[in-house]
Parts: sequence; structure tokens; C-alpha cells
Amino acid sequence: MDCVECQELMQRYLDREPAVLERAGLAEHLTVCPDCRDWHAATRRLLDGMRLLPPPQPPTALVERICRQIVAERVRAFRLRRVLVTSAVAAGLLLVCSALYLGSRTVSRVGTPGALTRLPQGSTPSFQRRIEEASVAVAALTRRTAEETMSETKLLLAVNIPQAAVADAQELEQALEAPVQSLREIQEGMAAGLEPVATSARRAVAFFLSSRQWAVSGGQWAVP
Amino acid sequence: MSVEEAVLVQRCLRGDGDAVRSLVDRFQAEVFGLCLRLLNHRHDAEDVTQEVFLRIFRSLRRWDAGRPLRPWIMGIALNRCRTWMAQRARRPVSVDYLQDIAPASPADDSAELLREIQDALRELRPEYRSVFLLFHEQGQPYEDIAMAMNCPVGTIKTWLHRARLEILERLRRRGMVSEVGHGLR
Repeated sequence: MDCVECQELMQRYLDREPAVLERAGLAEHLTVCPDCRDWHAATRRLLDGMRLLPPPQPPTALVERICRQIVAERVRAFRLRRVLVTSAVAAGLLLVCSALYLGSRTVSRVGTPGALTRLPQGSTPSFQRRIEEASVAVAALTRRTAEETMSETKLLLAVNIPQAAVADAQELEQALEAPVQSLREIQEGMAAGLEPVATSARRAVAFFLSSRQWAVSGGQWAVP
Repeated sequence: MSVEEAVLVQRCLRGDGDAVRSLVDRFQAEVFGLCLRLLNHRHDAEDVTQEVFLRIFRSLRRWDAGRPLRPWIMGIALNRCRTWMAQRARRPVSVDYLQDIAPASPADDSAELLREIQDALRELRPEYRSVFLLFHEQGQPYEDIAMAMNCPVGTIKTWLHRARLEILERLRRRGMVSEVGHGLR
């Protein structure tokens, strides 16, 4: 064995192939070549030193802390999504109101006052279609809100329940305290979040009824 | 890719609390170990480990199920450590030099050797240190390290070789190993 071969074996030894040290001829070469012998000793010393490195021990509470943070972040993301969905629903209702308002104004301005009692045939279906489209959009947004709320609630429940087995009723109560608290927060948040939507809806319906009443009483437009 | 890993990730994505805990449990020691060795500071390592797992769960949907999970996670850990080190470089910091040194044994020079290796590791360039630790301390194969560091395997081998030579050179200067002849090249 020559020095090149010996160095190659040393590299393989460093690459986690300890069996190469048993290779025939290596021991003989090391006895006659001081450079290779020093290199061999140094690599062994390095690997021995690495084995002395104590494995870093993470703190015992680290897993708990990480899981708690993950849950907290999910709750934050859920709340943000809820606000966005609520805003979308509110925007949808606003669109409906705008469509109704603009529709009634357009109808009232057609023709001269008192001269016309009926709209041209093409206008009414277009207006009705707009109302139907807006209704479908609001219904879809509401359905999506409900579905997201259900899925997020399931998710939070699943993550919050500790893994350990619950021994008695008191432990069970303690164990369920965190998810119950989360659900309470969600309930309060949903109630607060949906309040503006409900108010907008009430206003939209009231506005629609009053504008319809006005149109009918003014003789400008009769709903078919 | 392991099917078990893919199933675990799917369960995490569905919001299974046990799966989340299991994934954290499985990788926290390696992530924390790497952070501790790279940052040399226990509290920083804990903070960064938490950040790493938050990022993992934020981007779990983007994990390519055709690739192994470990290098992807270690890649996130390496990136976070790099960012943390860059931020820390701009402010003074105390280093926990003695935090995990084994008690000295009067009979041999193990403690001294250990301290010298730890100091040598701290002096390495971050990429050399990362490769050296992933290979020699965590026992990861070249291919996984290459994936985690987003480099070709050849580059990883070169960095590892240079890291070994720099550590050995320091050990030689400190009298921990004898003069190394034609091996040091």
C-alpha cells in the first residue's frame, strides 16, 4: 500500500466506513510511513472528539411550548379568515342594496312623470336577474362562512385536547378547559362578527321594502 | 420519501393534534441540536427552534411529498439560523461557551479535546460548520445535506473536507494532535 491509497482509506474512514481500517496492508504502511501514521492518528482523534460532544438536550417543555404556539397561530389565522369572510358577506349585502337602489332609481326615471305606467318589456327581467344573482352570491358566502366555521372548530378541538389519558372527572374537566375556552371565544367572536352583517341585512330588507312601497305608490313602477 | 412521513403530514394538515405533536417530537431534538451548535446560545436556540416549527407548519402544504421530510425541515432550520446569526451580528451577544462541556476528567485530556473541538467549530464558516455538524454529529448522508443546504453533493463534500482540515489544523496548533504531514491538503 502506498500513501495515496492510505489517504483514500482515511477519507473513507472519515466518511463513516470504519471497516476500511481492517484493510490488508494498512497497518504495515502505517508502521513505515510517519506522515500517514500522523494523519491516521489525527483523524481518529477528531472522530473521538466528536463522540465526546454531549448530544444537545432540548428542554422538556419545548414540545409543549411549540404545540401551544402552533395552536395560537391557528386561532389567529382562523380569526383573520373569519373577519375576511364577514367583510365579504357585508360587501355582498352592500352590493345587493346598491343594485336595488340603482334599479329603483333607473326605473323611476324612465319616461316623463305620469305619462308612463309600465316599463319597457326588456327592463324587468334584467333587474330581476340582478336580484337573483345577488341573492345567490349572498347565499354562497353565508354557506362558505358556515363551512369554514365548522372545519376550524373541528381543527381547534382536535389540537387543544392534550394527549395524556384522563384519569378522573376532575382531570377531564381540566383537560377540556382549554378547548371549551377556545369554543367560547369562537362563539363570542362569531356573534360579534356577524352582528354588522345582520344589521346590514335588516337595513337592506327595510330599504328594499320602502323603495318598493314608494315605487308602487308613485305609480311609476308596478312589480309584476 | 417515506409513506409514513406523507401520512403524518396529511394528518397534520387535517388538524390532527396527535400528529402535530408527533411531528414536533420526532424532529425537535435534531432541530434544537443544530440550532444550539450553530448559534452557541441555548435561549436563542430554543427561540429559533420554535420559529422553525411555526414556519414548518405554515408551509407544510408546500412540502413536496416526493422528497424526504428531514432535509426539508433541516433546510428551514438552517435558513432560520442564518437569518438569526445575521441579525445577531448587528448587536452584542454573550456566548454560552461552557454550557455543554462534559465535566473534566483528571485522567485524560478528553475535556480539553472537547473544548478545543467546540472552539474550532465556532471558528468555522457557517456553511462549513453546518455541513460538518449535519454529517458528523447528526449522521446525515451527503444527499440529505445537499438537499437541506440546496447545494450539489460535490460542494457538500468539498465543504466537509475543508471543515475537517480547519479543525485538525486548529487541534494541531493547540497541541492536541501531532504535526499532520501530507494528509493536510
